[in-house]
Amino acid sequence: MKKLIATLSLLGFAGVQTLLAQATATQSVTLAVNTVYKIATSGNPSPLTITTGTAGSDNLTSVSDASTNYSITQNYGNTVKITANLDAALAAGYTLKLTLASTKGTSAGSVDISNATSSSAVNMVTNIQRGADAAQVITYNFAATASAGTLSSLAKTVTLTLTN
Amino acid sequence: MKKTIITLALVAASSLLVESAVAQATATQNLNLAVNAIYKISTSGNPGALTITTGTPGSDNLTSVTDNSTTYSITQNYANTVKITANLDAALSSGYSLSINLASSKGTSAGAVDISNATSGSALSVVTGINRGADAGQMITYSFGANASAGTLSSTAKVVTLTLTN
Repeated sequence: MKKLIATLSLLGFAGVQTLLAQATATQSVTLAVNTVYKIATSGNPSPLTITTGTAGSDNLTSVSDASTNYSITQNYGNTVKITANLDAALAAGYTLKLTLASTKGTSAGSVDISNATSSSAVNMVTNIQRGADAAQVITYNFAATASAGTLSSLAKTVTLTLTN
Repeated sequence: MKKTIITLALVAASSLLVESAVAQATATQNLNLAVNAIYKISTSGNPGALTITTGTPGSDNLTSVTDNSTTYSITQNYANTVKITANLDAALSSGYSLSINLASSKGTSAGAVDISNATSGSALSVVTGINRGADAGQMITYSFGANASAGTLSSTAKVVTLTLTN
């Protein structure tokens, strides 16, 4: 009888031992998210060609293009902006205006970028909130005066900069 | 030790500032801009009827009549040597004369020009040396003359064509 009790006691102890058996290990993980600024356009707009006017008016009939869009992603702050500039200013008598739509910031509406170069870029969208804004419409409007004369096909580069 | 920690902290802070200052991204688009050659001319409408109703006894030249109730406007960006010509759809019969005078502030008016025999193949210059730009609301003056010996003329519709050309 004593032997039986002793045996049962040993079995019970072994069971408890099994339930408590465990081991742990730890790792330190370092996480970081860098400042991310991304901006891209869907492509290039169609040629902007002025072909007509109204007799008696020096302002020829302007042309527009809204066939392209831009997308942005940024995690820097809620006061980020987009600026725009040309590679070189337009000659007098020709006007290029740009409008950027926005759902994450405040669009400046139609902005004359005819004389905006890299050192004098103009604000197009301000107070952009953190996050993404996809496929926002880019609208160009090209105007000219008759007194400025004709203009052969002229390639211009517009730079959109997402910056703080 | 404290100095070292403070120095490192300042270095780290300045590094953050530099990161903030240069944070940006760019995208570019290529545009093609062009302005074609544009010629536009229009008139304000048609003049009143030009009807000769009297003359002077002893003179074959009846008293001419004029009309300056209409204007023309132009816009062109081609050159500074553009001109306007005028012609009729068909020449007038002998003894009748129609002259036209176009005012101009962008070019040189030829004054009153007899277009009685000017047709599409022989249009006459009425304004020359027109500069690029627009000239709006410039007066058109018609003068219609007739000889008594040419006889009466029933109401006859004539078409005057003004052409802006280089």
